Amino acid sequence: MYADIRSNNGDILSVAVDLQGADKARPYHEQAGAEFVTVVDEENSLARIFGYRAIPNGIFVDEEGNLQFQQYGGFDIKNAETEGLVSAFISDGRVSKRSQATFDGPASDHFERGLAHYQSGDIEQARSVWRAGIALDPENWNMRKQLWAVENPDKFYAGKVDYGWQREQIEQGQ
Amino acid sequence: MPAKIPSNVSEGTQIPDFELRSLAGDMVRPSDYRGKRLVIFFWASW
Repeated sequence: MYADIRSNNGDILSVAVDLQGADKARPYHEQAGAEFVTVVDEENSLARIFGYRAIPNGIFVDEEGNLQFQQYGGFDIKNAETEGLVSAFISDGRVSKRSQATFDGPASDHFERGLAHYQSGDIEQARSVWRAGIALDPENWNMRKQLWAVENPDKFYAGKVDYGWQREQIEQGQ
Repeated sequence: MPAKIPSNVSEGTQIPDFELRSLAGDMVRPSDYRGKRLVIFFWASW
C-alpha cells in the first residue's frame, strides 16, 4: 500500500505516542516493515496541540498544508474502511467521510500532572496521580494505558502486547 | 458524561507545524511534506 501512496505523490507520517520513548516504539515500526517515517511524541505534546485524549487518530493534509479530514479514535490503518479512505485521499484528494472532529472534554488535568512527576523521575507520585485521575475520568485511555504500561512492563514490552490481559483489567475495573 | 469538545484544528486551515524526532534521529515537521498529500497516523505500542 505504501508503494502506491508514494507513486501517487503522497506520504504517511506515523506518530508514536509513546511516553517511554523511541526504544519502545521502534520494534513495532520494524515489525510492520514500515518504510515511512515514524516520529516519537514522548511528551504527549500533540495531544495538547490537537486536543485529543485517545488514539489511534488520523489527519489528512493536502499539498498546501491544509487539514482536509480528521478522525479521533478508531483510525485503525489495518481496517478496510480506513485503508479505502487513505487510498481515495492520496489518489485524488477526495474524502468521502465526515470528519470526527470532537472528543470527550478532559474531566481532569491528572494526565498532565502525572506526566510531570513521571518525567522528573518520581514514578510513585506519577502512579498515584494517574490512579486518582482514572477514578475521575475512566474513559481517558491515554492515562489508563500509560499507567498499565508503567506498572506492568512485562505485559507490553516483552514480545507482543497482551490484549487478553488488558481485557481482564477492564473486566476487573482496573 | 464529559462534554464533547471540538478539535483545536479545523478543515481547510493550516495544521500546526509541530516538530518531533524520528526513529532515525532526524527532526521532522509536517511542512517537510509540502507539495504532497499527507496522512498523519497517531498510534502507540500499548
